[in-house]
Amino acid sequence: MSAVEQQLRDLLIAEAGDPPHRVTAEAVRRRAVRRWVAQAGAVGLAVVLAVGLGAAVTAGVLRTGTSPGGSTGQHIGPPRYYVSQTFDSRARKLVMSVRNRASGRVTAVIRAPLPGESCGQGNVGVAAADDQTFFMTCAVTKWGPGKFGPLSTPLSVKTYIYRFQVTSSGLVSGYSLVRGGVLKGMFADNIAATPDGSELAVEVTGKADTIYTNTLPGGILVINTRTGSRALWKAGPNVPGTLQYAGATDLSFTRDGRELVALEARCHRRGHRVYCNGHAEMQVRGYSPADRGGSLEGGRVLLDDSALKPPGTHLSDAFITPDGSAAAAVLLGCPPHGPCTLTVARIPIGTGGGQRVLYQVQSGSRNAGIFFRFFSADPSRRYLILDAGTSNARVNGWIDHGKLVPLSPADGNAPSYEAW
Amino acid sequence: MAEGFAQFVAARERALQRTAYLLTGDWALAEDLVQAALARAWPRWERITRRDDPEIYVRKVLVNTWTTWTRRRWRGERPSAAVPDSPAAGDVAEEVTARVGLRGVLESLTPRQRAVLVLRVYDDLPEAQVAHMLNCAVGTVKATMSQALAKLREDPQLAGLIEQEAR
Repeated sequence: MSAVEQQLRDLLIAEAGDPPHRVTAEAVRRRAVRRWVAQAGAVGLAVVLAVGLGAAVTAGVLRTGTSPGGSTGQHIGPPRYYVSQTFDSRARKLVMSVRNRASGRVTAVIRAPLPGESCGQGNVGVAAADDQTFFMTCAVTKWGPGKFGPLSTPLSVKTYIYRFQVTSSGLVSGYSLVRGGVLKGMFADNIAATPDGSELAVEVTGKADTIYTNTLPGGILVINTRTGSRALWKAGPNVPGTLQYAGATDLSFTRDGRELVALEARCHRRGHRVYCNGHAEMQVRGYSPADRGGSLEGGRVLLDDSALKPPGTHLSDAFITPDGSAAAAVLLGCPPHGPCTLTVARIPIGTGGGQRVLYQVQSGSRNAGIFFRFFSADPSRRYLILDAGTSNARVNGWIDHGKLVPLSPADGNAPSYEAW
Repeated sequence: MAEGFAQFVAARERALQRTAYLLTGDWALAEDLVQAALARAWPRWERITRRDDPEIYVRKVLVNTWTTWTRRRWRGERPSAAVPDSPAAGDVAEEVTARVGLRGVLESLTPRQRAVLVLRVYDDLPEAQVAHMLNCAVGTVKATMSQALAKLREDPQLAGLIEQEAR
């Protein structure tokens, strides 16, 4: 090697540095399996391979790792593609597309399967399961005359839940209506899936003429996507003077689908109406067994504001890790003197352990403020997506060892939600 | 087979990732690339270890996979949002300037020039092995290497460095 080449080599060595992540044999095997499954397109093959891998893991042949999200799942690298929702101001509707994580490039646009459907509406209108399977809610609403014009009041609504796949090249395939996924007279506001896609949780609101008011939500439906059976977790009767279920901000399941976990706002009621008036108490509650249904006044409290540090910090979003041992949460705090802080943290459930900060953003000053848009994760809960910001800068990306890797697409459209 | 593959990955993944990073210029893409290359090699692992040096085989797949990726038109796009992360401590201006310069020059090379440069100079592989990995003649590797070095000399910062060293 000449002196010039040696000098160049030193520069290249300095430039390469040390990789931020390890690539494991297990991650590679899982990727190879996904590739085979995608190529073969055969469910049977997927089952055979999954069983083989499962057996290998059980036999201890494969190395295991622990994820920051608390999962005991394997490190498989962040998903290559994600589903992004943006609002098309010209068409005045939400557009859902698949984007490449690294480049931001749109690889596919997700179309509404039926004419007249609006897909991905609500707080969380799309949810991911393993192997790049997604579930989305689409609503068909009939409008009639109202106070604000001839077509300003919803007369009826029907929600359809679809499943689709993102292929290894970022294309969308295999739209299918989920068994038990036609919800007459109901509007879906939040959706979550178990990692294997066998169960869905959908927060639904009831009557068509009151879906956009603060009327008490209908509850949370748990749908078995194999059999189509449903169970309803519904709000209990009004008990004056108590804080009661008023709506869910985020839904999640433990890996086995046994426990449904909801970040809920709990407020006072008057009759069948909710009166939060800015005094909602946020709680993470678990309902088990998820597929049985029951009252949303029951369940167990997993986390509330009183457990957060420092005092005065509030829960803005949260979901459970697959093993149920911790919550991944977004916390907002604005102390009387000093900047506001948005913290993404892992908070152990029921062990009394301290919260672990995964990422933090601070506003420049208290007056500068801080805002939070959305928070989501892949089915392993290993890779977290955050959209938030301060008056100076917007944060949109996935959290990687305390840093935020931007996901913002090159065209600069601000997403309203992202899932992977 | 499972054990041999796991041992290989544990031993070589960092080196492979570094090479992949120098090819892609992005750690996330580099991780993806290494996983993709290893995922291709894994089903054939027994055969590869019987007939070939597994490292050479994996590197060959890695470079070929990356070449395929570079043919896609979307390679020009980059995420663009500014992130309010904390600034690094200390004065890193000089190091950053050198790195940015090198990155810029690497990006100006064609995929094959970049691959030859990284494999020959960074991985210190002999020309014959690089030729085998890139499916081309040894003469082509020499010519490509010479073109890559000529391009590096066009960069004022690197040219200065190279000239200084040559003297």
